[in-house]
Amino acid sequence: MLAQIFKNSNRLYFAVAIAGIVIVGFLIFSKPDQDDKRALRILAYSSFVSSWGPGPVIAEMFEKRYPEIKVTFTQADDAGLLLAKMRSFRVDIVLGFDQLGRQLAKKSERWTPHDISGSRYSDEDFLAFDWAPLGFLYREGEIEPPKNFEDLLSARFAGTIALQDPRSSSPGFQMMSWLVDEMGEREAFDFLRKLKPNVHSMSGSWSQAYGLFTRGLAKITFGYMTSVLYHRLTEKDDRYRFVTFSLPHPVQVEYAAISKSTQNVDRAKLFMNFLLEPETQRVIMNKNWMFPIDPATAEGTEFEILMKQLGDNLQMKARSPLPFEKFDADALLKRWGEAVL
Amino acid sequence: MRRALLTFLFILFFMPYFFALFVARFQLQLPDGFLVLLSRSVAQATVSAGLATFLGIGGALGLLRRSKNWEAVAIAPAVVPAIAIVFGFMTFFPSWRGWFVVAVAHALVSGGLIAVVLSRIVQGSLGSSLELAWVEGASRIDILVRGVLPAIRKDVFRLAISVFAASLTSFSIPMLLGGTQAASLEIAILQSIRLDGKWDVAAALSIFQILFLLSLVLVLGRTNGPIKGRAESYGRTEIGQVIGSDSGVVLLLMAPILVLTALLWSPLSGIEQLVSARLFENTDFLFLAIRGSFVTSTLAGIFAAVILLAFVAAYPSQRLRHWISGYIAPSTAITGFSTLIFGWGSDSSFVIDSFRISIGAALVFVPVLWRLRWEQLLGRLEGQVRVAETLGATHPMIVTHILYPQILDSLFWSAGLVSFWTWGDYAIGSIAASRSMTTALVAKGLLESYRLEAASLLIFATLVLGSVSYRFFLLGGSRVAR
Repeated sequence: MLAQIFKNSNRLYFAVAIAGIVIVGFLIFSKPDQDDKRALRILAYSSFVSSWGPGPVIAEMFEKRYPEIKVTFTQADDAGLLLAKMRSFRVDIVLGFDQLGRQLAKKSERWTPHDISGSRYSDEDFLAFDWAPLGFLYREGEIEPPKNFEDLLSARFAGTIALQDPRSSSPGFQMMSWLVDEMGEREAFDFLRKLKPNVHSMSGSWSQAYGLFTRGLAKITFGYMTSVLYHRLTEKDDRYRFVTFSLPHPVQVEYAAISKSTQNVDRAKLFMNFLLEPETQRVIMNKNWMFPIDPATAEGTEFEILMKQLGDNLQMKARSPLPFEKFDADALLKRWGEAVL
Repeated sequence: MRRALLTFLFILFFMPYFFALFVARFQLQLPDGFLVLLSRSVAQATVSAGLATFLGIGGALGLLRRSKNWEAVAIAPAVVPAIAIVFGFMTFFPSWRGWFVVAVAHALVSGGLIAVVLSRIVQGSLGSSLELAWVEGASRIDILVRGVLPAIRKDVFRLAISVFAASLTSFSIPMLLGGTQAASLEIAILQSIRLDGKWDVAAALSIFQILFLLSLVLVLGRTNGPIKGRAESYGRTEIGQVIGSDSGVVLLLMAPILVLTALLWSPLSGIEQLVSARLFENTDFLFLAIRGSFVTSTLAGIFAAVILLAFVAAYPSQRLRHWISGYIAPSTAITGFSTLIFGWGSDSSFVIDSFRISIGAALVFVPVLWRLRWEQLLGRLEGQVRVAETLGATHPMIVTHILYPQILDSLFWSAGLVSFWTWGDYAIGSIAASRSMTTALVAKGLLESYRLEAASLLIFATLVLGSVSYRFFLLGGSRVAR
């Protein structure tokens, strides 16, 4: 029947054929992505593998050291997507889990030990490759910064704080957990209820909340301490400040892990070791805007100055990230919904 | 043949739900507080639909006074990433938050699209009656109130249901503008997949969502049908002189102004950020993204046209009409994930990625187009089909000689619109693709790396390229029709 339809419609047939040829041409002449025998397949989040992220430089350095291995990146959005995508692509290493994602990954998948011992924040399967403290950021000259949580309830912050929704954002979940850890569950959700008038927006992701903040639509946001360095070093804008509370701040740690199903365990382990080498850590630090796992890597840089500031002013949970495994995420999110929505 | 086509279409469109069920190991569980979530979502979606319809009618009157190039302006807010509308909104109305604000934003997103559809309906179906009334001396208000509005009542209702469905399944706008009242079914679906890995909850919510919309359309469908009558095509400007209104153009321009403000907020720092991201040095990356957008959007347009042709070939079928009319707004997240079936377990490749994004985009956007345009269009032609059947015409003859010549214009318009949408999409792309292979995905990557202004500029460029793609399809349509 379709043939009959087209029989009397030569022009449509012609148009579809031309479009088809163009598309097929594009598809055919696009290079095959991977040389199977040499490939090391790494699944990572999009900003890590983008041309301005650390991924391409690290891949180039690694291939120079090990010419027999070819690194290929596959991208995913966040931890939930990392797990969903590792089932549908051939993957040797997954890179980019945070603490919450790691918990989910441990529950739902099996992993190959990386055999690197003594690395900070790591366990036998999940290797930490960078980290950053979390807290509130503001621009100097726009507001008088809060000194503690109670300060955030002040009327002078009405409608100025851009937060993230813990249901979809890892920093958002960190903030909620931070409050619960510091105040206890009941007080934490009472606090959130009182904070409502001061909340500018509850974004789905860190990047959306941070965009509202950088455009000046919000005056305070919850985010990474290391963001200050991005503005200082890349934009030459020194107004951005991280608020150091006198109580312990949470940290975001990023992990890499080797898939259990990989056929390339040796290559994957080489890459995991390579991730912690000083030169690689410097690339991650400078392009991912996170602290290196080994503080020595930051020596002589602005990162070191910021890290020293941590030592002086901030008793961090850095030494022990928030105990997510002790939290009942479902129950917390339910209570968050009751308090905030 | 018709039965085989119907089965194929049914499987294709319900594939995302089979996929979700399979991943959830056929276990379903609704989340705690489900009824509260549902009632809030329904209230917000209802107000969104009402406001969007009002804006759409006003906008249609404005569009009738303008050339077809204005359609791209009207459609633009519906195809840009929602973040652009939200940022524009926050710039002009910094302290507005809550479910009503969400509804206003949804109306601004959909109003232009409704205006385009309504103006095309008025132009295509009511031209001669309007001219007659005008010649007979009826006033403009009389023509509008007693002529146009009653005639398009059912179409308006149909479009309102589409906006209701789209608002019910919206994600970014409720989350950002809802403030402390942010809640929607799609937020809950994404949360359950991304944060908890709970596919049983995601599957339950998405299946509930689609069944809820199907039942809604079946119940309300009794009073809902397309305009009957002769298909015609009248000059836009002549109709515009009779009922058009310049103030309608003002309504139409509100959302594009918000979008432009958001996208061109700080173009100089946008360029600086593009330089700092080394996108001008590393032009391969940008070129590959433009190539990726071109391929995926063109493929999506072609897939959409093929699926719509399959609908036409299977028409008229009560079963088809029942399920596709209710299948208004599939979950973007579930549809995106389901495309991972294609090339499952293989290495990442440009070919498979392009296929995944374009088929995903076609599956999400074709149902919207069906409600916006095709249900009404095919309904209008049903009388001719019945007459031909009575006279003994075979089904292939009916499709070839009656339906096909009259749907060409809409076919290319629909393909162009899907192509435009796909240029701006990153919701499906970020799930389905294995790399930042489109300009929208590159923009998303920039947004996630502190470079909001660069992302905004790139989204603006994407919009321009998308509108070229849209015009390209329209041009193709007019050539073929000639």
